[in-house]
Formats: sequence, C-alpha cells, structure tokens
Amino acid sequence: MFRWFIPTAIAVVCGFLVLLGYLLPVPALASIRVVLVRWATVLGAFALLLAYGSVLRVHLPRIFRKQSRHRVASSLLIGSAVVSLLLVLTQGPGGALVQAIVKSVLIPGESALLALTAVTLVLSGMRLLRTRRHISSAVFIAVTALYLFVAVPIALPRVLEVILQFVDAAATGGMRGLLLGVVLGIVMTGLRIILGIDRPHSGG
Amino acid sequence: MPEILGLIIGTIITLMIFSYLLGDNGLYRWALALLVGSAVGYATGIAVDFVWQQWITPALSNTDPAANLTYTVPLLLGSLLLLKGFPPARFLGKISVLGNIPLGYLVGVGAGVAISGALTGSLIPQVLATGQGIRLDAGILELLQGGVVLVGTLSVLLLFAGRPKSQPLGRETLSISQRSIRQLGGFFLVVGLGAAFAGAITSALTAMVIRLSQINDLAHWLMSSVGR
Amino acid sequence: MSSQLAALALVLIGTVALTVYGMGLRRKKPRGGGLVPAFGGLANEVGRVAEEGATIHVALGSGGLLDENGLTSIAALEGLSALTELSAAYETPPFITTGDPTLFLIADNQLRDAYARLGNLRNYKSGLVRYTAPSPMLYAAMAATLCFDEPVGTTIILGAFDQEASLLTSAAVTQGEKLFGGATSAVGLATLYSDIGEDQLVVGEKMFAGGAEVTGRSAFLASLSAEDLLRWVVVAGILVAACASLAGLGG
Repeated sequence: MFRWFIPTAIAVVCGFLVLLGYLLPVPALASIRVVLVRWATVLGAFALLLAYGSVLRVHLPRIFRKQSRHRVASSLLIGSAVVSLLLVLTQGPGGALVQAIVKSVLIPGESALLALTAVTLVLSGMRLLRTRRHISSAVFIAVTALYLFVAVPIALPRVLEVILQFVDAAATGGMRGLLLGVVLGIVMTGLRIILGIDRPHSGG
Repeated sequence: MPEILGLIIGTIITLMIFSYLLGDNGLYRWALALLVGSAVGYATGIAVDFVWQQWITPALSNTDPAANLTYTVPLLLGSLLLLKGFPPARFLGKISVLGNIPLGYLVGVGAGVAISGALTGSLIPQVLATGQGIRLDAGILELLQGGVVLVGTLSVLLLFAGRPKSQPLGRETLSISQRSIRQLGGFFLVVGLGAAFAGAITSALTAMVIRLSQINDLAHWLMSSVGR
Repeated sequence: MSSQLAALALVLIGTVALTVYGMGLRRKKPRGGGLVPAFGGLANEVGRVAEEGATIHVALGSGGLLDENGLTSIAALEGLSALTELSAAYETPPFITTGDPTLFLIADNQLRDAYARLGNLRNYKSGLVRYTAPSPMLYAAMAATLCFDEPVGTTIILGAFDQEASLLTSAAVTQGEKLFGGATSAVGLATLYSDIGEDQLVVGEKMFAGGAEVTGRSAFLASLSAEDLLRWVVVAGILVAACASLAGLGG
C-alpha cells in the first residue's frame, strides 16, 4: 500500500495535472500546476537536508576513527557548518560575508576546476586513437582541430570560411538529431511514469 | 582591502586546484574539501532559509485554514521524506517506506515538467528550425547549408531507429539503405561530437585564461606594493 | 499556443502507442537483450570486479528530478537495475555518487529495494549512495577522488553529464580502471567518447533503452516501439516544415 500503490497513484495524478497544466489552455489547470511545482521545490529543499545527512554520514566516521584523509573531512564539514550557520542564523543569502565567500571561494574554485578540464580534455583527446582505431576517430579529431584553429582570431581564407560553414551545418545537424532522439526518450520515460507503468519511487 | 583579500584567497585556491596537474595531492584535496564544504553549506543554508522563511513562518502565523493547507501539505510531505534518512534495519527505517509518498510526488511532478519542457522547449522549436532552414530566398549557399542540417538531423535521428531482435548493435543484419543511413548518421554524429568537444576545450581554456589573469593581477599588486 | 497543441498531440500519440504496443507485447512474451551492449555488459562487471576484490563506482551525475535531466537520470538508474540487484546478491555493493539531492534519494531507494527484495536489508549500509556536492563541476571533482581512495575496479559514468565528466574519466584512466558510460548531451558524450570504447559507451537516446535491455519487461520494450513511432512523426514534421518553408509558407 505505502510501498508503491499510494506513491504511484500520487505520481500519476500529479504528473498528469502538471503536464496538462502546461499543455492545455485552461487557467484552472495552470494554477494547479503552479501550486504543485511550488510544493515540489519545498520537497527539493527537504531532500537537500537528507543529502546533507549523507555528507555527514560519509565524513564524520573518518574524523572520529582518524581514518585516512580525516583532516580533509574535517575541513569539509567545518566549511559546510560555518557557511550554513552564517547563512541561516545571521545574514541570509544576501549577507556580505556569505557573498564574499561565494565571490572569493566558490566562484574562483569552480572556475579553476573548469580550467582544469582543459588539460584533462586534451589528454583524453590524445588517448582517442588508442581507444578507437577507426576512421570516425580521425573525423572527430579533424573537426575538433578545425574548430580550435578557427577560434584563434585571424582572417581566414574564403575557401576555409565556406568549408567551416558546411562543417558547422553538419555539426548542427548531428547535435540536433542527437537532441531530438534524447527528447523522444525523455517523453517516453516520462509517459511510463505518468501512466504508472514505471515506478522509480518504489524501487522500479 | 576586501577586494584584495578576495583576490588573494581566490588565487590561493586556484593554485591549489591547479596542483592536481602534478597528480592527486593533499593541497588539491584540501582545496576541494573547502570548496565542497562551502558549496554544500551554502546550498543547505539556502534550503533551510527558504523552508523557514517562506513556508514554516507563514504556516505558523496564518489563521485562514484554507490558506494554511497550502503551507501544511508540502511541509507534511517534506517530513515524510525525512523518514528516508533512517537506516532501513531499525524501527524508524521500517516506516521509512512512508517516504515513498513524497518521492512519488517528486517523480510525478518532475515527469510532467520534463515532458512539457522537452516538447515545447526543445523538440518543436528544433523541428521548426530544421525545416525553416531550407529557404529559396536566402541564396544557394544558405540553401545548401540548410540541406546539410536537414540531412544530418534526419540521419542521426534515424540512426537510433528500430531495434534489433537479438543481435548486438552494429552486428545485426541490415539492408543497404539501413546501412547507408547508419553510416551517414554516424558521420554527422561524430562531426557534432567533434564540434562539441572543441567547444568544451574552448570554454575550459577561457576559464584558464581568466584564472591566470587573476593570478597576474595579484602578482602586479604585490610587486607595486613592495615597490612603494 | 500552437506548439502546446502540437506537444499535446505528441503526448496523446505516445500514450496510445504505448498502450497498444504494451498489450501486443504482453501476449508475445518479449525478450530484451542485444539492444545496448554497454548495459548488457554492466552486470558481468559485478562478478569480475568481485573476483578482483575491488568495487564498482557508479557516477550518476547531477540531473535532479526537478530539472530537465531528471528523466535521463531515472533512465540511467533503470539501466543499472541488474547491476544493483546482482551487487546486493554478491554482497559487493557499488559506490553510487550523485550531485543532486533528489537523485540521491531515488538511487538510495533503488539500492535499498534491491537489498530488501533479496531479504538482505540488514547488510545495507547507508553510505553506499553518496551525495557529494551541489554543482556538476564540484560533484565530478569530488566523485573522482573515490578512484584514489577506494579499491575501485570499474567506473560507470552514466546520466546527465557535460565536460565535468573528463575529471572522472581522467582519474579512472590514471588508476587503470575499466570504464563504462554514457551521456545524453553532445558535450558530455564528446567527453566520454575519447576514453570509453564503442561497446562500453551508451550514446544519447540509447540511455533510455537500458531498462528494456536489462529487464526485458514488455512495458519497456513497448515504450521503445512507441518511441520509434514518435520518431517517424517527428521526421514527417521536419519534412512538412521544410516543404512549407520552400513554398514560402514558413516564418
């Protein structure tokens, strides 16, 4: 009953209401959809509390049992406790100190990790011919090299410009076909849930 | 002064992250822990603040029962969801099955949002853009490019069509037309992936340049401070 | 408004097709297998890795239930269902990492249920499914550290990923781990394309065939047939739009 029947019934009803709220021009359905989606964001916030519990469960034993990397685990937990307490108890999301942490720790850190992927991506590109000895690998590398070459701001010969436009068109076609296929997959997966055939909330 | 302090902290974190290029090491781990800790703390703080300020406080102060219901229902569902946090073998773990109710709610609403978003936000605009790329009034070059986009889109879309009954993908018996579509689709797909890969490298390099220029700014500031 | 009606028409076609194909396949006793080799190979990894005394790391990415990637993550989990069942039976549980709290809950639920179905719930440990960080880049960087800290023999990168996946693949390659994976975005797929072999890579839409591959359930197979029908509707739509544009009716 509670394991799958009621949760599935709720998933079906709410899923249908939200979907129809988007697709049918009925104001009442649109209002219901807005309420249901707002409630879901509240559940998302509760899910984050549980996820925080998971972080504690993984890192606290490392500290108490002085396992490897226990110092790293302590800095992670102290960092999270300081920021969350600062945000909740004193300043709120817009507080000066909270914003300073975002600007001088989080943004540079994430940006540095993104920069790091420049190296990991180039290295993995170099490994490609080892993973796949196929003509498609050569096409992949040639297209990548062409795009990286034209990213340099220099005047291109007209012929290269025309070639690039056609490669661009081919790339757009390839990515668009991929995207459309994925959308079809999303629609059918969603419909299985909304029709109650698929129940990921109760283990499948 | 706070700007300089922020610049110093950001530069130190950047250098610690970049130390990963020498291999996995303590400095990188420490910086990563600090970042993850701050990010988790920030996200959790925002979540607690959101629930408290926008849902619990109004629920406690509201006297209208009908309006109160709109606050109480998600909070009740959220409380049931928290039961999922208990270890399954204990008593509270056994009633954690009640947490499937809010989970079902999340899955259902998520499915509704995703289907409508995918159809109205991606599928229909992309279908129209592909078709409308074929225009006689735009010139022969544009018409040809529109044709390439059309053929690429269709061939990649058809690359995944049909399902083999028993043979693995790529080893199934195919007709000549099927094989041609697969080869053409495979080609367009790889060109698309190559372009996407180049885009990823470019965006990463841009981030790298920004980080390095920040380090450069700090070095200049330090040198000018020493010079004074 | 017209795009909403077109979307509604596609939903109706999909629903009717799913019902009709589902009823047809129920009578025929369908079987999965052979659809996506990568998903078929995943279950074999459980035994192989267990013999090595190692474990599997499943990186599910940051696609949460309330964003556009939620259903991609659910599809990835369906493709992993055979792996989680076998892991529960072998008692060589995988580490599952997620970068979204709602995905964390669904993944935890699936693993718990796999243990419960085998009557092995006492051996379920809560730390097996881990929420690592709230942003994709931090998630990938943190999840990649598992490759160094745990005896991971195989890393599976499956779900909604972009270029952050390269942090995971580079750590796995450095540690000599076997890699499986798949993504639905062009950037994510391009990132995985270089490091993951053809038979281990799940390309785009194939992600949604994972459930059919590993369970062989008629509902999943019917869904693939309905998806094919929708595909032809989309192809027809593109051709009609192209003809209309050629005739000067577009805009």
